[in-house]
Amino acid sequence: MTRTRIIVILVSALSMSLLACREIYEPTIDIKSNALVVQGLITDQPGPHYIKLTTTIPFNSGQTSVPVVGAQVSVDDDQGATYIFNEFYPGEYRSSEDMIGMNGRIYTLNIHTQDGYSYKSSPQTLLPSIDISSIKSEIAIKNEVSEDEFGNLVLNEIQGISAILQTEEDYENNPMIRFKSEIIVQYVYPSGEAPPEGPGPLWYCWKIYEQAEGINNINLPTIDNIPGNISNTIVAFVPRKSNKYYSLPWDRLIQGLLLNISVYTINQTSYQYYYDVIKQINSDESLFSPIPSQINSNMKCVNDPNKIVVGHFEASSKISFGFIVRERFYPEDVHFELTNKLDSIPPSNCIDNVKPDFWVNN
Amino acid sequence: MSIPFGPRRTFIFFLFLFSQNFISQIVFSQESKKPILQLLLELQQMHSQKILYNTIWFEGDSASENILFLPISEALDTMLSDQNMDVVSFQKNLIIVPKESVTLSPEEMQDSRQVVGNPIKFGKYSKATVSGKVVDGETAEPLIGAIIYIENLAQGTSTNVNGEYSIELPVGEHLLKLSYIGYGESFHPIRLLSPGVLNLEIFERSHALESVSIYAKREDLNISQTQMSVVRIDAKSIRLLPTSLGETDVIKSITLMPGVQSVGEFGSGFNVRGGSADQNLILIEGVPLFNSSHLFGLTSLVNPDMVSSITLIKAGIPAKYGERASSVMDIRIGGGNEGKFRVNGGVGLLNSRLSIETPLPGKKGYFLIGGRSTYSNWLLNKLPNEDLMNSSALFYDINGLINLPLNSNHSITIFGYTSYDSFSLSDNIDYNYANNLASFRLAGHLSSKLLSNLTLGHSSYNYGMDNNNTINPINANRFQSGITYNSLKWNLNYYRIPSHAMEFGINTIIYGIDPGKTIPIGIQSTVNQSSLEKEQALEVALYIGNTIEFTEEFSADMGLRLSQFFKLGPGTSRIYNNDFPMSVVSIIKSQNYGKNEIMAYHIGLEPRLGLRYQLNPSSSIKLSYNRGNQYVNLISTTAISTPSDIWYLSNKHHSPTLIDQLALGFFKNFSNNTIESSIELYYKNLQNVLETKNNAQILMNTLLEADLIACNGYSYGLELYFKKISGNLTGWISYTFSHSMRKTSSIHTEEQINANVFFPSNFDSPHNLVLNSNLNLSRRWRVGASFTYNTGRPITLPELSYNINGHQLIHYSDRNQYRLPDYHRLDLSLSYDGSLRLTKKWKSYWTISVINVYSRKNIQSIYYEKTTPSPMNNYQKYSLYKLTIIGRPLPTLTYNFTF
Repeated sequence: MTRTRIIVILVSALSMSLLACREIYEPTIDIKSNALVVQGLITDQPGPHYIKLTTTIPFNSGQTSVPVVGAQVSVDDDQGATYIFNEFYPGEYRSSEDMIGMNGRIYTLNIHTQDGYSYKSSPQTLLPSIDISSIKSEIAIKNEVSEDEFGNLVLNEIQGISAILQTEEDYENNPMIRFKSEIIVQYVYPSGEAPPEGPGPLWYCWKIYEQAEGINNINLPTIDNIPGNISNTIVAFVPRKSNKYYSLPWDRLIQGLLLNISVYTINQTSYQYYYDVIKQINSDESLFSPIPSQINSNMKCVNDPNKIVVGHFEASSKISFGFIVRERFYPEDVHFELTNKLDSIPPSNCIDNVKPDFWVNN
Repeated sequence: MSIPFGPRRTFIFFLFLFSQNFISQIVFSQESKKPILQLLLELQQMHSQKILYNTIWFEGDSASENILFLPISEALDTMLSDQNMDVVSFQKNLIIVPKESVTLSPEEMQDSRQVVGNPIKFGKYSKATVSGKVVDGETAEPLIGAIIYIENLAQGTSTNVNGEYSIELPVGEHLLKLSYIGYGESFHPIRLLSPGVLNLEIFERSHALESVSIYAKREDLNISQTQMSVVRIDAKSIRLLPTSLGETDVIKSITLMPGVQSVGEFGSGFNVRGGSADQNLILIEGVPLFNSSHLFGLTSLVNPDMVSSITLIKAGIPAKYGERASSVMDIRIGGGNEGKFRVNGGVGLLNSRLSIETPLPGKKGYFLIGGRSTYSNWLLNKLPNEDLMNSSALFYDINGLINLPLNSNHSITIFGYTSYDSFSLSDNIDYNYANNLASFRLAGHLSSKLLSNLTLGHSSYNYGMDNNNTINPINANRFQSGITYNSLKWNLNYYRIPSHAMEFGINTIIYGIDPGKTIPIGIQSTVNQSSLEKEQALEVALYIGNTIEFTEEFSADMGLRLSQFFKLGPGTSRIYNNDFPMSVVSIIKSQNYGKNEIMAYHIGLEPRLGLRYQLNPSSSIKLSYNRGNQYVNLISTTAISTPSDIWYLSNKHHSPTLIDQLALGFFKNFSNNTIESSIELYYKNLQNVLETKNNAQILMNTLLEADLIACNGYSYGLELYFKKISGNLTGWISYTFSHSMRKTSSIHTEEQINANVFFPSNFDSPHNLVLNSNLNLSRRWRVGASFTYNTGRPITLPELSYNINGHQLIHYSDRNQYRLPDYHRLDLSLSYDGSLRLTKKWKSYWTISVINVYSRKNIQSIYYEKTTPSPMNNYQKYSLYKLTIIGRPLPTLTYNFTF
């Protein structure tokens, strides 16, 4: 027997054996019913404030979550006041417009569902807002990994502008913040072409992109600071005008970019919750990664302490900034211009031949 | 990647001058030796007792001269314990014979004497002629000139050209000694009734005689010794252990013993009686090994050809041992063939090994060196699987030992070991780690009754992960971490009187831990270089132990160990608000410490007790108790040891792990100690066992103490063990029923696991069954089989998923609420000995083995991956995967040689 043949036989024998096997694992889970999911937020801004109730689904079941309707929802403060939330949409409850959270007050969410269970949050202190002196703009490149049409991972470089928080106050203990940004892309349909609803010379359209919600949206701890410094925290990233990035057909003309930034000053419980969410979402999935475990909720079932409830009730102070993103390519200049036109922008839409009030020409 | 070594610390101690030249009794340590042949002569003179033996068996072998102080039977047992020999008592003589030749008790021997002649004619003759033929047992060829001799009659004869013989003897019982040049001697007891025929076979010397019936006294150490819960394996038995990937794996073989398990198909480390892997102190020549496996459990770090003995103590741990809470594994290297040059090796499909042992010039002392390496990379590159083709696996280990007698009473032993492992699974992450060990031991007699061993030791373990993110090179980074250990241990044995021995000493250990640093890889990487604060600590222990034989039946080992632990600066210690759980936001202030300032101090008194009551020569009852403190723990978020685990020192926030263990056992031997059996019960109480909080990240965590929770718990179990140690079929069966539970007790929800209710530890496996056997099919062929069954280990699984702001999140079960499917596997091996002739220089044997004969897909680990939601995966963003390492039969072929 030749040496080559021997090697082929040995390699073949081993190859049949050494194929470490990776398979989907579908264990039998012992779970009797779905749990309540709470998403609640009240701030120091005028209402209404919203509480959203849905249910969990069994892992890998393929089911869809259902809203929890007909619940009695209210928020109590430590001064004895009670604020009722009424259902305006299946599973979504809102307060009156005159409900305003007060700095230093302690709020507790109460929920009573139709199946007879009562839920209560731990008391949440609404902390005063941090002082933000400005938000700086800086040209930046963000790297994003995506899959191409063949399923291969590719690295995309996205040119854009970072929005960087600036504070002048020197904090002994870094406050905890959460931030959320929306990019409003203003674009027009050329004359002669129209969105599906009828003809018109020009359509003014806008599309809202919510950014960084739930991912790395807090001042994360660093080696030297826990939590991290808030000054120089990047709170948003605005990709430069690019139809491809904003998923617009090639012939739409982008007329401007607006940026709406909200910064919430949160308490320790909320900070820990969002940090746990980030860790679960960002787990690196390598062979030896620990199994991520529970994100603790600040909600508990009153009449059955063993009943699962997930989600979070947050009480925080909020500061919002609206910016017009001004940019020129030649010579290159980019900066944010403060505007108050973004206080109430309706959901994404188009208007026939009428420029909306918040429209800004860039 | 370079593996940095930690800082080295040296000590200068005052050494006593040795001036005396007396011999003393041996209990635990290595001491001066004499050639066995000389010792046998001296024993005969001292005790006026004739001892018969073949001098060729003991040429070049040596044993401790302290046996001269023991009763002759005990002296012979001790001297021959690793010689595979037994002692026969016959007609006031003692005869040393090969162990396998002895099978029967005196009563059985009486009945097994070969009857020569016609029983009907018994009484008609006062003398009768015995005649017959002597042939080669293998070829049936008649042997010319074979000697038949009867010692007590001083009478003998030899065979003629046809192999025939004839001799006239008095009627009655005789012992015929048969010998032939180049062949092994044999003894044949006969009962001569009348003239008759007796045909005899004789075999070449290296073959163990199969059918000689002689009474012999076997080892009964498991009955007579006070130490219980112990597993001992000597060099000659190692070869008979089950093979893994074609070679003997001494540490994996230990996991086939009751009360010892491993986690997963291939897992680094092992678990003793429900304890974690870091609770086992693995010593090689007195220096600890921090990672005992190559390639995450593929094979153990210890070269089996270099090992002379392994002792694992699971309970009743003697006072000289500390540092870890659950067990001690003491591995000794080589040194069994003074005066002989020997080469051992093996060539396999995945790895090979070679070791060389040689006496030093003048035959004073010896030197041995050995190494192993794998070459699986070339094989992986040829496999038709993309993942495996892009993977790599490499390891090597080299170790050496030199023993130098300074004079007749003192000797120096120097040991060194280095190993390196590198492994990647095509996921862009390269894992690598290295072990380095060294020891220097000075042994000698301070007086006729006082024996001293002074050992300087060093051990370091460094590991790292290279994340070569080729898709997003800005994230490419390297993580490194490590631990160093430097020690000075002085152990003294005092043999006050034969029934009372004392052992005492001092251990001093300096720990150094580098918890981790991150370094960017490549010019595109934007990862910031950062490192965590290094840590150091000093552990000092004083101990004393007494071994007393109150009566023949009752003996006791009593000991006390006092350990002290100092966590030293430089470093930073944080003070937390006690009204809140430890977290980033409950820090009140930080306190900085200078070099060698005491940051934390712990002290522990550790009593040790072992009692034995011998009911009769074949059975005894034993009881033991020991307490142990463990000041350094391995923090892991997974059940299997991984490179992402971190060594962690006790400090102000976390007291040392404390274990109290009580064990009771009944030991019984049968058939002249050829069958051993035992029943052992144990109970362990655990305090301050560290578990990680939910969502804990242990790598590069500046506040690791805030992510750890001290748990209490208990383990208990029943171990049944049954072992046959002689005959063509040998092996053992063991069954263990056990539980290992943990519980938190914090008032803060964030520091509770499962709401402070008891939960199974990662090593809770209620049922464990092992069947291991070896069968000699013939003199050359041997087949082995090993079957293992374990209850599946506990795991935490996702139960529910939900959506928050467009992100899918998972809600998990209580910790360890579920279990993996049960683990079971059958391995088979076949060995063929190439040559049995003692005079032949080159000896070899082939081993072919098949692991996982019936393709059991045992789950090694469960892990998560993010996926693109699609109809195929029910639109889930997470999928749960199970990893099986060996899902099909794995054959290996190894050629082993020695010369």
